[in-house]
Amino acid sequence: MNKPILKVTKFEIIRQLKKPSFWVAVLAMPVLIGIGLIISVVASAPQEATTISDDTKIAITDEAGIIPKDNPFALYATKDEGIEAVKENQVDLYYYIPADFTETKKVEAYRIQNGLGLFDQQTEALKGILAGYVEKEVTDLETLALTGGYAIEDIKFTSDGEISNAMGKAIVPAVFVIAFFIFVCVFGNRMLMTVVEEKENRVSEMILTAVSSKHLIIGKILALLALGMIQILALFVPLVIFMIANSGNEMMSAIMSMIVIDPVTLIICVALFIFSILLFAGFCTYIGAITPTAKDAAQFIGPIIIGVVLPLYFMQLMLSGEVNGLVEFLTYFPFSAPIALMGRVAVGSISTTGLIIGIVELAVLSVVVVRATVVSFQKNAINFSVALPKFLKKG
Amino acid sequence: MKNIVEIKKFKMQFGRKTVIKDLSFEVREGEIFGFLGSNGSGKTTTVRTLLGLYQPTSGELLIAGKKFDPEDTSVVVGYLPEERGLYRKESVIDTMVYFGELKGLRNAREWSLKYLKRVGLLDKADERVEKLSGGQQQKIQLGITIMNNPKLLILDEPTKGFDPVNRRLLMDIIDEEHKKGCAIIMITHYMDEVERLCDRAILLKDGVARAYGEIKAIRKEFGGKSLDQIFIDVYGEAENE
Repeated sequence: MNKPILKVTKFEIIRQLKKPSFWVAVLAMPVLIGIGLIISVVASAPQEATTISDDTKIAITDEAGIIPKDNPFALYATKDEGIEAVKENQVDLYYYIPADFTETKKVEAYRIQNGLGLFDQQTEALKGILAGYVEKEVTDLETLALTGGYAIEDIKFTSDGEISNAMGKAIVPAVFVIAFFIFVCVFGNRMLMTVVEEKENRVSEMILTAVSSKHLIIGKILALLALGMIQILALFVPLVIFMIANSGNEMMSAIMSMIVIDPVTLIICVALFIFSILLFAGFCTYIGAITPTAKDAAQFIGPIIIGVVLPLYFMQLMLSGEVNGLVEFLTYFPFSAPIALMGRVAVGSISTTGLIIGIVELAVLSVVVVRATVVSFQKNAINFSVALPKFLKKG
Repeated sequence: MKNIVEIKKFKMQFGRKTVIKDLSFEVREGEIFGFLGSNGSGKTTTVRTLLGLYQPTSGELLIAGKKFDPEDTSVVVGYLPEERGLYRKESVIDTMVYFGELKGLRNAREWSLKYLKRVGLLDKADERVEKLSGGQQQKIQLGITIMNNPKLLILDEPTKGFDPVNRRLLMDIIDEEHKKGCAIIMITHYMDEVERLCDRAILLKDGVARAYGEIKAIRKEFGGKSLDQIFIDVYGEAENE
C-alpha cells in the first residue's frame, strides 16, 4: 500500500488510541447499546400480541376432543393433513391438539414464517379459543383448557416447506447491523472532526505540501475504519469468549446450535458492512471538507445519524418482513440504506435483484462521496472562513 | 545557473476579481529571492498556486521543471505558510516526527530532537503544542519546514511576530540552509532583510511585476533609492491616483 497513506493512518490511529475519550467510548458503548436495545425491544413489543385477525384461516386437529363439531375452523383428521395444508398455503395457522394433551400439556402450532416474528405471539390466541368452548372446570381437560396452563410449540416453515430457522439465520446479519450502529454512534462526530481539524488548526497548508489531499483523506478514513474495528472487537470478543466459556450450559448450547453461518450471507453482510462504512465515512468527511470549523461541521452530524438509524425507528415493520413503499424507500435512500439493507438480509425479505441493486448503490456512492471529499478538501483546505455554500449557512 | 522555479504568464481570478493579471518570473537554484508587495497584492496566492493549493486561471507554474507534487521526493520543498498552525493536542515531538516521516526523513525523531535542542525547546519535546507560546510554535513550524534538506524553501513572513533574539536565530537557520545550496523565496515586509539577504527580488502591485531583477539593478532603476523608499514610491502611486 501507498506509504503516505500508511503514515497518515498510523499517525491518526496512535493519536486516537492515546485519548482517554476514545477508551471511554469503547467501553461505555456496549453498555449503552445493550440498554438501548432492551428499551427498543420493550417499546416495540405489540400490546395485543395474542390476537388473530378475522381473515386468518385457522385449521385444527383436535384429538383431545375439546372443540365441538360446529366451529368456524377447518378440521383435519390427522396432523399430516394439517401440516400439508399449511405448506400449501391453504391455511394460515394450524393447531395440533394431541390425544394425550392433559399429560403433555402441549399443543403444536404450524405456519409459514413471515419476517423474523420476534414479537409475534399469534399462536397464543388458541388459549382464548379453547377457553371459549369450556363452560366449567369439571374434567382435567376442561380445567387445562380453561386455565391455559399448557405450552404452544410454534413450528414455522419457509415458503419452500422446510422447517424455518429465521432467528438463527438472522443472527449473523444482526451482528453486522449492531456493529455498524456502534460505528455510526461512536465515530460519526470523530469523522467530521478529523477532516475539519486541519483547517481549524491551520495545518492544512503545511500538510498539503507534504502529502496529497487524496492520500491524506484516504489515510484518515482507513484509520477510522481500524479504530471502528477496535471498538467492534471490544464488544464482540468478550461476548464470544463468554459464550464459549459457557458452552456447557444448556441454554447457551441451544443458542449456539441455533446460529446459522451461511457463507453467502456472510459475504453479502461483509460487502454491505464495508460499503456502508465507507459511505458513512464519506458523508462525514465530506461535511468536514466543506465546513470551515468544527462548530460548523457539528451541526450536520445529528441529521446524518438520524438518517442512518431511521430504519431502527421502524424496527417492527422491518422485522415483520412486510415490503411496502416505506420499506423500499428506507432500503434505497442513501443514508438509511445500510441498516435497512442489512436488516432485510437478516429477515430475508429482499430479493436477489434488490440486494444487488443495494450493494451496487452503496459501492458506487461510497466511491463518489470519498472522491468528492478529496476534491472538496483540496479546494477548501485553505478557506479558513468562507467555505460553506450559501444554502448551508445559518441565517 | 538553472532555474528551480519558473512562473510563466500566470493569471489568477477568483470569481470576477483578478488577483494576478500576468506574472512571469524565475527563481534560480541556490539564490535567496525576495517576493515583495503590499497586503493583498497576490504574493501568497502565487505561492499557493505554485504549490498546487490553487489551480491557476491560466499560465504555468513549475518547480524543477514540473508541477509540484507533494510526494515527489526528488524535489523537496519546505513551505512556511502565512497561516500557521500545528496539531494543538499532539506533543511537539509526535508532530515533528509525523511531518518528518511524511517528507521521507528516515531518522525523523533524531533529527527533531537535535533541532529542538538547537532552538532551546528540547525540554518541551513531550509537551502538547497548545502549551507552547506563539514564538515557540513558530520555531517548531520552521523546523518542520527545513526537514529533509529542501531544495527550495518558501517562507511567508518568517520573522513576523518574533523578538529580536529569536529573529536572529531564525535568520541564522535560514542562512545555513542557503549555504547548503537551498533556494529560498522570502515573502516579507521587512525591506532591510531583503536588502541584506536577497540576491534578487520581485515587487508585485495590482497583479503585475513593478520591479524584478537583482537588488542592485532594481535600486539603480529607481534612481539608487533604498528598497523601503521604492516600495513607498510604488504604492504611493496608488494613493496619488
